[in-house]
Amino acid sequence: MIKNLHDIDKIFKEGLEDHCEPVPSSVWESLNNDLDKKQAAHYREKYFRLKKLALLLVLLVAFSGAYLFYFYPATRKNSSIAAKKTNPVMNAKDQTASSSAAANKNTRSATNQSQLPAVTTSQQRTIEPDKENEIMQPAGNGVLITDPKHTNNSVQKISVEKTANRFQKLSTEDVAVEKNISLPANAGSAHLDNPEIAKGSQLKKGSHKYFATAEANTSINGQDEYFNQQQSLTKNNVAAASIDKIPQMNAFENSTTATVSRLLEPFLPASLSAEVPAPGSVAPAHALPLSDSVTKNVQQQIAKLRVKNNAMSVHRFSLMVFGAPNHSFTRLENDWRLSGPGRDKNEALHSEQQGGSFSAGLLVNYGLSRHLIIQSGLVFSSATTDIAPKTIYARQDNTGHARYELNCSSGYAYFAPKTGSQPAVGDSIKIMGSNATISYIGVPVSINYVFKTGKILIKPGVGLSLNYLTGNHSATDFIPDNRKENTTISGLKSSYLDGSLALGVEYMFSRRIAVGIKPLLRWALTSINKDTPVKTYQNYTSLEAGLKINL
Amino acid sequence: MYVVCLRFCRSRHEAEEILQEGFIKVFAALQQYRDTGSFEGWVRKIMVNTALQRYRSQSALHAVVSLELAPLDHVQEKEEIISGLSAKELLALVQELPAAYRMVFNLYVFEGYQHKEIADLLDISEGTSKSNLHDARRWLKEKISRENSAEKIKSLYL
Repeated sequence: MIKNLHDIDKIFKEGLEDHCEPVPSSVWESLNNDLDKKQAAHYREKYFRLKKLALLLVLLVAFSGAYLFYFYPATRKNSSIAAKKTNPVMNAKDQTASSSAAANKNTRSATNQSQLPAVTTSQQRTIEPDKENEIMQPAGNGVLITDPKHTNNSVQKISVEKTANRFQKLSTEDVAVEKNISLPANAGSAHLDNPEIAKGSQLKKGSHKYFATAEANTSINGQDEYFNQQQSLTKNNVAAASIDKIPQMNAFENSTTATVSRLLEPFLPASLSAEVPAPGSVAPAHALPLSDSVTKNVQQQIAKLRVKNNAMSVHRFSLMVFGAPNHSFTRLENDWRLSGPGRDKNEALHSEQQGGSFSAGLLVNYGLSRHLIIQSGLVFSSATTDIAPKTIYARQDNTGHARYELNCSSGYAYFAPKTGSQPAVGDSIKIMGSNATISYIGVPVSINYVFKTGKILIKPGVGLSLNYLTGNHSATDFIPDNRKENTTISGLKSSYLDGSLALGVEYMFSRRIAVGIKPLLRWALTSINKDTPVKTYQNYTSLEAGLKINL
Repeated sequence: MYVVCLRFCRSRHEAEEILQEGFIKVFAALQQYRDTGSFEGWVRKIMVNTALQRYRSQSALHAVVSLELAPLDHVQEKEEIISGLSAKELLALVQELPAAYRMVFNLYVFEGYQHKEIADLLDISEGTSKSNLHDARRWLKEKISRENSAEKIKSLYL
């Protein structure tokens, strides 16, 4: 073959253009095995992500189901009670009763006892709740338990009398002593009807005395002799006793008052329910209708109890300040376009080690219900990666200048030597080591379910967090001139998303102050970098310790 | 494709590794292939890029060889020389080229890249690319000339 060496390009191009060489079989075998592994890894990764999504969905469904199961019936019940409370019929009655009570108060002093009709047991059945007859019902303090059918029942007489003697005697006697009034031996609560005594008794509004006072009013029904002597006094009791005969008291109100009285039952004197005889004689206390004033009072008591219970369990808003040491562990993936020998995840795993990491933040809790809390706030987190001593090479950076490139799992860091000549592409330099620190401010949103056992709250939760890059720098020690140089890391994304699973435990010192710890797993859903040979997913486990203040 | 890999590498073992890595990339990125060009050209480009990536990652290990090129006067004196080199011998010559020269020579002669493109691919200046190509040609001519002379001497004595 005669060729001109001046056209050496053509010699080589033509000479090798159609040249073929058989590929060794070992190459195809290893390629086959490698492809299987890659494919398996691909599918494993793909299904791992699907599993993560499925797990999140399961958790969300579980929490939603738990919420509906535990809270929806209660909410419905509460709303139905609230609806009954706001029923126009009921409100009208409340208003009527209130206005009547007010009017009675005004006319009370002006009413001449001698002008009042003598009331007998039979009269109690027919008396309407006019102003005069409601006078002596203690403002908001009366309990109506009398049924006309049962007013003559001897058992009721005994039980009511006992109760009256037990609870009312003391107060009336005390008042009588104070007012220097002599009481009949069996006067019981009848002296309440005396305006002076009644006034004195209203000063003592202990719960038991209060109920006993009301109950004592009914005891007069069984004290005929005393009624005869103190006819003017009975009008007050009749007023209370006759309310259950109000024509407007329909079945709806009865059911409502029955509900309220059932709620009130724990607070009633034991004698009311214990000594009441079987059906046919006297109806149980919780089955009897209550007056509007009692209903109001009970509602107030229940509201107070609710406030107290809520104060101890869930506050609508609370703040939590916390700090946490983190253990960061990264998941690395090769980017096929850019990775290669010395620039892949194996190199990163070999030469890098996770350093210190911590989180701190301020979280705001909002109670969606008694057991469900949504949490958000700001969390600052920082993680450091230690890079082992290695040789780095000069490459062209994004601006076209040749600088030493430190390639790590987070991204790239470029260094220009401060002394000496500008490096050429391919020049190398040894480093003693490097620290890459990255910090983020995250905005987490999580849902927590609250289990309460005494003063301890257990709060498992699941959430997402969007983390914004706030700082990144790399500090590298160079061997030749023993200097340290700081620079920023290129290739980091401005934000990444991670999911979290947590199990918080809180101890309530008081209604407002609680301390807690929370083991937390934060799992990166997106990588922290892009256009780098290695994609890094920054994961954390941490133990948050904090102080919670209920607002 | 194996020959393409061989041209960019010094040894067969290295070429086999590049071939393997390149084919894995081909299979992994198969869905990215558009029907705008030939499939062979697409695969060939991946192989070349894989070889370049390996070269870049090991660029510091490639010591810059200062060639003490012999004066080519005796070559230039002869306008034509007889070179009965086979394809295998030509391939061996390319493989023997210093890495920096080999890359530029391959990209320019076989792959048809321009100096500006080569400079971008290899992170070098355009002037360096031209210089390397020139030195590669001189190196090959010298090598061929020496081998030719040796063969002539050999044939005289035998």
